[in-house]
Amino acid sequence: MSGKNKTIEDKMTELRALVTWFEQDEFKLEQAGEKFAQASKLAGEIEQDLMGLKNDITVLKQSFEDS
Amino acid sequence: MEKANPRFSVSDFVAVVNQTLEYALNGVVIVGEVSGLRVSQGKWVRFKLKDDNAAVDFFGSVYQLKVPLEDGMIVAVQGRPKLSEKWGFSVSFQNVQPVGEGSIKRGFELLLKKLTDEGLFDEARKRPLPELPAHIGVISSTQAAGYTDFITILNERFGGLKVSVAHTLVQGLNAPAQITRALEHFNQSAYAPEVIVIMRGGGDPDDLAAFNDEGLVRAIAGSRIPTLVGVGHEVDTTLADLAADVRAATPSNAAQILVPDRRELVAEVRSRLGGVIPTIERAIERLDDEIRRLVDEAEARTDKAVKMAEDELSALRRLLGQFDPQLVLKKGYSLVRGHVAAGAMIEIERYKDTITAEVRDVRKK
Repeated sequence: MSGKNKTIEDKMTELRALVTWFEQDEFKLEQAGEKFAQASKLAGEIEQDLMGLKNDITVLKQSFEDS
Repeated sequence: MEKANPRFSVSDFVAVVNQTLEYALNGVVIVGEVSGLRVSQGKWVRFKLKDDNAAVDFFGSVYQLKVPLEDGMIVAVQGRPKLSEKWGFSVSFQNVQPVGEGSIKRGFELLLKKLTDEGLFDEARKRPLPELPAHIGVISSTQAAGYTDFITILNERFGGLKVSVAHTLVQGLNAPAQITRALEHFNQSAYAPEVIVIMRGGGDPDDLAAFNDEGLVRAIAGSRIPTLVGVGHEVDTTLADLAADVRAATPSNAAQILVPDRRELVAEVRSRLGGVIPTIERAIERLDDEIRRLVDEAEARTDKAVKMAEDELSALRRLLGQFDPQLVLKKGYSLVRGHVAAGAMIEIERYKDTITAEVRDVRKK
């Protein structure tokens, strides 16, 4: 996973916060460009992380037959 | 010399027969029609299995009977033939499963009623599955098509999950016990999964009968970990399905229920990001409108100030005009300069000329 050990959920939380910033009173046009670039980068990382994840499938060695 | 026939005491004979039967027929499965079913002391079960030509006695405890029985049902019974010192020959049963569509259906109906009356399938018992489980326990046969479908769909939809698979039989007399043991294993595990998925693909009623086993159904209902059961095709309903917290129509559907589709999440991320662009556009428009308004306001104020200055100027001009001495002279008045005293010379300015005159007399009014 890319992005300095942050989980996808961490990044999603960060992205949600960035998007929320655009909808709240703190929104300032002067900072919008920088925030948007930050959000775009994060979205790209999330997409890359999501598509690259592989499942770890383990078949247990235990036998469940009659002992 | 003729070989002597073996001679036994009755007890020894019973022991030898049991030894022989155990060696030759241990775990044999016999299929036939149930007849003369009797339960004594609420604990011991006796019945015969018969066909057109023969009948055999069976004996066991109610705890080994995982499906309710009725006379006339066709069942497959797994058991150990035994010659009892007191009761004669019978088969001690370990597993009993209905066989054939009619008997399976009847067994299903009887157990469904019993467990429904107990409240085992009540909606209030159902728990939600974790939103995105990081660790999934799977109970299935790894050779089953349903398992392959599940893993394929799961891998397509999401990644980064830990999947622990308990390989068990998913049909036949031994399947319920194996699945129950796998359930117990996950429930007792120190690193327990967040959800247990039990699945198998489609099959005829005999194949799916294992999922109507009372012991397994109770184990699913009693699982500490939430359960998702996907057995057979969409039209198949087993008691295991009803006991599960969530029922999936098929193994593929189980994967769909369990995890979100990462492609949908990517689309959602893109949509969230796209959603802020109108906000920026609106902010720019608002700023643009504000600038336009301020410029208009400044222009209007300037125009007003200029107009006021012009008005004042013309008023002053008018006022100033009234004080012009020429206007007074034009009306016939004269302006006298000089020392007014008898004999002095003065200057009298009129509108069109100036007169120099001598003062003859000065009288007070």
